[in-house]
Amino acid sequence: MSHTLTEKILACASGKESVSPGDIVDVSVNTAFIHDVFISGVVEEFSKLPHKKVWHPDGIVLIADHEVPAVSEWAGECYKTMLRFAETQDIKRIHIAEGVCHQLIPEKGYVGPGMVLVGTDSHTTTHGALGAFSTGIGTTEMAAVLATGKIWLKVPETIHFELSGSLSKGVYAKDIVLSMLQILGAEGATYKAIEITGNAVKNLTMADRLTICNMGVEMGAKNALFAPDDITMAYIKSSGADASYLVNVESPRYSQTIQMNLSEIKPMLAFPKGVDDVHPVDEAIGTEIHEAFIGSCTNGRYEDFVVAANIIRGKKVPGHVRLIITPASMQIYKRLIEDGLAMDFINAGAMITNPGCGLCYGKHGGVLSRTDVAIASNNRNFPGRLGHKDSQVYLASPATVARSAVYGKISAPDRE
Amino acid sequence: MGETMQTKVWKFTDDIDTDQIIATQYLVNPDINDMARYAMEIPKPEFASSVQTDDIIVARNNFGCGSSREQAPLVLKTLGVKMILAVSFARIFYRNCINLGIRPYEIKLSQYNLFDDQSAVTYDPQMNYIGVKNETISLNPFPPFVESILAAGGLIAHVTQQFNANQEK
Repeated sequence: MSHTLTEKILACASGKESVSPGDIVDVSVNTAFIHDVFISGVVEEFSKLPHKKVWHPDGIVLIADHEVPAVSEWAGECYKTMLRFAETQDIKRIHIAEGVCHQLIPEKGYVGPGMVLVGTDSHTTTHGALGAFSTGIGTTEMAAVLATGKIWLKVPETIHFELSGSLSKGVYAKDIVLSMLQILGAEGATYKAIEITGNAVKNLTMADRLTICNMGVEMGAKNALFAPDDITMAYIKSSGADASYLVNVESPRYSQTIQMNLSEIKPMLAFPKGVDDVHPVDEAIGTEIHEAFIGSCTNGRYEDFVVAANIIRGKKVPGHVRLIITPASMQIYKRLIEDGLAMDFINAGAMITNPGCGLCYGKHGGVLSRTDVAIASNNRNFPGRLGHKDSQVYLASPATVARSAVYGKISAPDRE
Repeated sequence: MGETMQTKVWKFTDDIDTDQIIATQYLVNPDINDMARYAMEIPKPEFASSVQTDDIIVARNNFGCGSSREQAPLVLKTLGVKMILAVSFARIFYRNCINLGIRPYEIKLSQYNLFDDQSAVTYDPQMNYIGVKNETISLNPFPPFVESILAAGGLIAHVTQQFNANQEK
């Protein structure tokens, strides 16, 4: 028998010798997190349960990231609900306006390899980057997890991407995951796990892996993960995460293996109105843009801003383009200031916003008008996602966004 | 129970995401009945005002994709939808349906093609089949664990039942 990493983690977490795809298992959760949009709903559902106390206060993380600073009269009540719940339940891991959940959780050491994470956000697939099983759930389901520390899961089949070769100049992790979307489509991995291996993986940083796993959900995946390696262990050594759940697998059997040679990948775009409408950047060169956005849980990490700053430094964004920079956490924000990158962006004419999810879910901080065309480093471009339903959003790597911002039209990152 | 009932079909295509089922701007509304008035505003503006209790939604691929917002199945439940047939569902939406006590059934594409929007179909809850145009579609039963959640009326009721059962031991 040769189980996949997902199967191995779910077997350990459900106290079973082994599990197979299709099995329904009752799994123990290590970390459960809730963000500000859903805290009220979760607390309300939890109050309907006879359990008065949460299963394990240190297993719970509360993060206000979507509605910060407050975008409505409702938001302040969400923070208060969060603070009250933390106090009555003795929850110490609470972060208001410190960053986006999918950056804070790895950064603060709340996820380690082999753990089981659930969160009230679809992009919870992100944390598979550290070799964890991590998936998004709804509010009712979260209330049950808070009460019992457990969740029922159907063991998914695993789709395997085997990466070889190395990326060409101007090509980044975002282009890898957009290429995966081009292959699988928006539902190609529905109910399934995605596991990424291959000899090219050792050249992917933790930031790269977080980007790729983040968009696993855009292919419909239940979870997406990389097996833990030296890069993982170095990351959790600095984050202080618990490494005791670590599991290893040998020659697993996958339901499907897709080979990807990274040297063949080009800079890619998801065209407006479909995350899986993926084309090479070359097909849209010259398209005029009005807004360029670098940020989000997909591509708002320090490494992303280094790439963008190297393109933008010393240049001016044309007057018709709004360039918006949104670091994914306060820690990243501080580094941008300390290392001078913030000044590079400001001198080029960019706006730097606080860490948060505002624009990526169409609420605030750059919402698009009916006739706006944007290029953005986030993960979704459904109709209306970033503002008006007729606005057009191209998804791209931070490098492609930065180069396009400088020229005021969609441009390839790998040429002058 | 056990009687065949007549119901109406609301037909949708592929990739109806949760932003289309209920857009972000309405999520702040504390009143779910008020929020439900805006369900399906983009793909079918007349849906929220015309849908009747027990009407069924029939969709093609990847129904409910996008965010994890539970308000998406909740507004449909609030409007009286108790059953959704789709060629495929997005997984978080699928789980949210079960946890709220809505029945999400997967059907084949050929079966999807039998349905016309706004047409009447029959549903037999006892036999678990849908009658459409002289054809009968047998719905696949859920695994016992999932059926126990649905039978309890959703996950909260189910977890409460379990808690109470443990207390009595």
